[in-house]
Amino acid sequence: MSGREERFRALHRGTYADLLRFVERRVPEGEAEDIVSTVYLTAWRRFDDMPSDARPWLFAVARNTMANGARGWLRRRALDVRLAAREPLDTEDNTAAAATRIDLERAWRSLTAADREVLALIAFDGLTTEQAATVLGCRRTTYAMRLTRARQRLRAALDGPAAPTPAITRTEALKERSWTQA
Amino acid sequence: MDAGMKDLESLAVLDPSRGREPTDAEWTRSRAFIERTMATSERRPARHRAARWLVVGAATVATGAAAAVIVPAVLPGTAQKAMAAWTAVPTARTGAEVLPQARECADNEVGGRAATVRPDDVVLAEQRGVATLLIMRKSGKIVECLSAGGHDLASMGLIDDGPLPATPPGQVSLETMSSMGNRGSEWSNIVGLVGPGVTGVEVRLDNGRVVQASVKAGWWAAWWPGPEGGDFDHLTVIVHTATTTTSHRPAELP
Repeated sequence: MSGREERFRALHRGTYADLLRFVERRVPEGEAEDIVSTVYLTAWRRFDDMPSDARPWLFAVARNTMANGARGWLRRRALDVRLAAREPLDTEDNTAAAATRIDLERAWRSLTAADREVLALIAFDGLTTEQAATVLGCRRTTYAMRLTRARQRLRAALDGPAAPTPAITRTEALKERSWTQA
Repeated sequence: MDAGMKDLESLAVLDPSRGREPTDAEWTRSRAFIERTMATSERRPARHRAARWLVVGAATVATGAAAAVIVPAVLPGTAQKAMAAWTAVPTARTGAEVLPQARECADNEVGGRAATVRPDDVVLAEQRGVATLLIMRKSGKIVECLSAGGHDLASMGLIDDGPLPATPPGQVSLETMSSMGNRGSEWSNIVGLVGPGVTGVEVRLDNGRVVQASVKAGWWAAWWPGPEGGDFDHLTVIVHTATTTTSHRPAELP
């Protein structure tokens, strides 16, 4: 058993869960596993080139793989991010949290797909600004500027006039997938 | 999360993969895939670092995909003039128009000297300012030559002459990518093959500059002032067909 193969297995063990989550946030259910496999195929072929911080490198390959997908809805500069499905509400105690979540969703939807992608790399994918810049293929300073602006627009959207908040009931427990709403 | 990003923590409730862990079946499938991959897929050489053109005295060497490189005569100021006059969009040249540069290319040692040169030995020729980039047949090889002001700047062997390796429709390959020159005055080149249906190729550097590549006779090629060709993954290759545009980091190209 070669050391190189063992190191690749270790890379897989250490990154698979994060990579699967990264992809699942951005494509419909059922598409993610194939994309993740493509990323690891590329990673094996380019293993000698891979930087020591492999996770953002893998995410960048995944992002390009998704962006180059044959399906028209993936052909976009900014890869939009899905939203979590709303869960049914069982108690009144959850009402305040649900209202906050609706405000967040409304603000999130008001942003551009590019802003959402910039924010998601930090808020969902847990990357640093340096790593997020690697994923987007830009300089750290460029990413930091885009992030600052996206955060400003998010804050403005949260502080802005609230849209009428619909009453939340169990029957409105939506199972949304918002990647088509760029 | 970086310090100072606490305002983004509230967004976690919107994360569709919050708390998601791969299932045992997903782990099993993925492990099986990478085992198959390691057993059946060739690794590519670390081309982008290894192919960097290294100046060694008056000559230059390269390793990796490309066969050999020399700098027969870099006269003081020649490279600087070429870079000063460089244009992002090339002008296509015919073999007849670049016959003097082709003869010069044939006369250097890369790929072996060739006594005679015909216009149809030139596979691809482009002009950017005062510099001419050629891909041409020579002594049974395909070589790349970059020249300016009547002097060779660099030459590199690419592949043996003959039928080109098949490239899938709408896709491109990367044969070599490298840089040469001293820090602060480096230039880069990139060369690959195109599949049927590719109508254009661009190179977008991470600093935002976009370089239009030349595409002809199954090849694409470009050069530009800057070190990106010798660095890892500092550019994006954009491939156009009549109906699609795709973007690729160099590491992803076959």
